[in-house]
Amino acid sequence: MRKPRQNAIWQYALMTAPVIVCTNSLWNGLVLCFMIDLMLIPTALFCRLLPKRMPYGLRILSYSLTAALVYIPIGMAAEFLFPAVSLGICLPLLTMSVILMLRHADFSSEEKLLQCLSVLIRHILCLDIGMLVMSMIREILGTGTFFGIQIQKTGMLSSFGTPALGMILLGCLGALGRYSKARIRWLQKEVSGDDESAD
Amino acid sequence: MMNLLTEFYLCVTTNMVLTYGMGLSVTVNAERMGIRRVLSCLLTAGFCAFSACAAFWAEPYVYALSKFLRPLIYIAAIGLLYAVLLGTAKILPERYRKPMTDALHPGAFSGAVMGVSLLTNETAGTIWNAVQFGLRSGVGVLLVGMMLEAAAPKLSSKDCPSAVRGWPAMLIYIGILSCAVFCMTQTNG
Repeated sequence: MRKPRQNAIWQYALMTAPVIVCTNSLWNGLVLCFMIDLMLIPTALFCRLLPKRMPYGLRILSYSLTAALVYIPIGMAAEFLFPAVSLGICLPLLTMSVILMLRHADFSSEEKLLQCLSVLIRHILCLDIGMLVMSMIREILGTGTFFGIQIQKTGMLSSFGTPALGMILLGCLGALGRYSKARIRWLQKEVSGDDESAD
Repeated sequence: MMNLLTEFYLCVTTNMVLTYGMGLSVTVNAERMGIRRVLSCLLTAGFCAFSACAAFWAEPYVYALSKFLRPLIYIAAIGLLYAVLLGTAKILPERYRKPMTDALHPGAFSGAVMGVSLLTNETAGTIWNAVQFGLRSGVGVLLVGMMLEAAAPKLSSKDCPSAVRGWPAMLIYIGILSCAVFCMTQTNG
């Protein structure tokens, strides 16, 4: 199974549609994270039971049908728990986005259940952090609020809530993530180089 | 001529990729996934047209049962066409079989296809409107795929700074195009 050292959103631009459309405020982002987690965990655990020798096309179809079945109780729960938060078509859209996540994580039926759960939870945490950071930036810069509480007089640019600027912001965050990673690697090389020369 | 221009305008403004970012993950990651971008977008376009009709046809049943069954019904319909095309791809010559099957998986199960299915009944009153909506959305996805295919070599080249090279640059490029589409839709109300 692929280890979640890399954020699925910032390193691979997966699940872009729900992230770009829904993360225009922290409340929406939080609800989206909660719903994705609820959808991803049972779908991934169920799909782990699929035989490894299953043809790839049938496997993808099974992932999507499983996600659609899992969506039924989760959609009802979302309507009951968060009536004020409207995610529109993003929730049912997750049934397709989840497939990309399952392909990216590459679950195998040979690994132990606890190990599978632990890696799945780490993937999910990386995903949630990515979404919440996007939501926070878009809400603060777009409307000047934080969880609905006004912290600035006005936002910098109200269009931050639109998908267009969401795409640009995601691209910029991805670039920033890559730059930070390259810089950290360079610093580590410098430090290990200094240690070797000192020895 | 005016009709053609109007259709082109509608294809651009009802574009799932530029207006909602649906199907973007596959379009920008085509090189990493090892699939042909334009072929995948072409298949997505076909699936969009099919899924719009399927969604329109299934709406009375969905309305009678439960709205939460929508994704399940739509995925079952998409899966049917997907199975048929997968079977058809097996009889193609080897040279065409692998690119077709590689592009078929992400092309069929794309966010754009599900997005078209979910939005069809909000915009289409008749089956012909649903077909038009599906076709326009599909052509829109194909247009974006072709634009990205043209821009991808430049956006992935060494001239682009390494931090931005590849999908971040593609997302920024698509975002700028999306800003233009947003302005067009806002101007017309």
